[in-house]
Amino acid sequence: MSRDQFDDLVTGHLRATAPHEAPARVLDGALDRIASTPQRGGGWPVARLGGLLAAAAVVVLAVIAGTQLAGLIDGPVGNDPSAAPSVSGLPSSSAVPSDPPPAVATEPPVASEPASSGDTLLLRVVTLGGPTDPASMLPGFTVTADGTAIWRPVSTTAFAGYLARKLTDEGLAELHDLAFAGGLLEADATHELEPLPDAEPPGRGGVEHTFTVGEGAGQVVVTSVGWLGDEEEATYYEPDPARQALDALANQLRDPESLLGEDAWEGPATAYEAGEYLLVLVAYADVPPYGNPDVSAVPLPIDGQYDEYGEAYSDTQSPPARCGLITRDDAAAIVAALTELGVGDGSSVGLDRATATSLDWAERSGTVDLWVLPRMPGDYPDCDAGPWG
Amino acid sequence: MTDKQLVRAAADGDPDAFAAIAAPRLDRLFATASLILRDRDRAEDAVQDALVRAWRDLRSLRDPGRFDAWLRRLVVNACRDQSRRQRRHEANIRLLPDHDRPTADASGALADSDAIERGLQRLSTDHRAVIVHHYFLDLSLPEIADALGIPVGTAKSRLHHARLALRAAIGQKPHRSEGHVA
Repeated sequence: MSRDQFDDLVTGHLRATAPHEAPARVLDGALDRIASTPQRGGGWPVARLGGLLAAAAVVVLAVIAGTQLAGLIDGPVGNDPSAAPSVSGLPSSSAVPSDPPPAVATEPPVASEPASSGDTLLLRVVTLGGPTDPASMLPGFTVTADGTAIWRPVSTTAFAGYLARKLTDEGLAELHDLAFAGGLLEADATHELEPLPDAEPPGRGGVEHTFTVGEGAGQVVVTSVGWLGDEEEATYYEPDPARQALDALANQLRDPESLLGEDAWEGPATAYEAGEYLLVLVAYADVPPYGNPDVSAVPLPIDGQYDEYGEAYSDTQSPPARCGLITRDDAAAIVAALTELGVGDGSSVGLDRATATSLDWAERSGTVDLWVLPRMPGDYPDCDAGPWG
Repeated sequence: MTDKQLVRAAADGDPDAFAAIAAPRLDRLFATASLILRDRDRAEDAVQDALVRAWRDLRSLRDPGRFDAWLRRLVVNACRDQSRRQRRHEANIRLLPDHDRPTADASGALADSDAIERGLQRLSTDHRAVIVHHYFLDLSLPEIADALGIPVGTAKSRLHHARLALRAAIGQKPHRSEGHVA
């Protein structure tokens, strides 16, 4: 039997034996069940543009406020702009192609562990779009002063792992030129969609890119909206080359290896694992169980009940998301337990990615949604930074 | 309303919008689950479970344009759950000789079809899922990987091994007295 005959035979058999119509009771039964099934993540859907902008504003304010507050606590915030990282402090391919990138002075970091100059944040890009959850707060791209780029590769899986790869001096300079040559990241700015006169945009969603440059008092934050509608953007909105350039840059940085080429890198990419992780829990009591492993089988570093863990971060969500910082060892123990329990589908559990899962909570006849999020350079995200805050 | 608008409305808690996006997909999902599980009763349960999970977790879907791929993955996961439950009861199932089904006809397509069915029954749920997504849903390897939540290389490997197993089944047609695994 030839390959084609075999393929035709299998296809024909499957088509002949597949039912053509689902019994009505399948949908009816599902609709009956969802009537008593609460949707999860009630506190962080920002499906519409207005919500996106509001969420981004919260992020920006939280980052700035958190950084400045830390400066007040850990030491005086320097007022000398030269003491803070700035765009001009980055290497330029035309200026310093062969020298190491200059050390970038920074304000004290937010986290309890001081950041080394090697992981001082140079540029971070966070993109929010559509319904969001805590995992979506992680940046798509980060690069530090020592040329370490960290990114979540473009993937068909929802929870791809982060990669880290060191840029050469020339590679870092090339990245600098690509990101900063247009001058769009030199000062705080917000680029929103401005409707054309008499235009009636259909109300489709957008994505919000937040570019954070440097740390401390000189930190620059630029936000820009990308259009996601099916129709041409120009049909409804004023042209804005800056906004479109930032949207293009954010998309390019999603795949830095393709953007910069092989010569820009010192060695191979490796899985990124953080020194600290955020543990976010949403504990639902008295909801229908789903037959997942019980949360008690996972070694969470918690004293007391799951709905009393850490701090509650939500004004509107019930139950509120609760968030705290955990060590890498604690995160590793959680990931190992989830893996052993067979939780996830092979792509949603790992130290190099946003671990996200739902567990049963037999003690309270409920479920617990769990996220373990690797922290990125610049101590991001913090519990104060997310849509859960 | 477009599908994306319906997905967003459903994520905002509108059950009518959810019904509107689920209904046109139902037959396809049920066919897929039936072929993976080879059991229509359990396929009904799997599709229903997947729809309830879709409603529950819809807000975690960041890109409404990925709704179909995401829903396929939920159905496959629900099939895996059903399969695990089935295995717990397999010890109580006795395999009986098949006197009712068409018997093997060494020269006809009926024999091949019967052999393929036998081969499908012997595959694991994950391997059957790959076969169904490839041959019935006509998806590409990246799309299959997305639906199954596995790397593309793993999808390719599973498809290769599943095809080998099916070919072996066709090449080794059972004698009519061997019985049939129902």
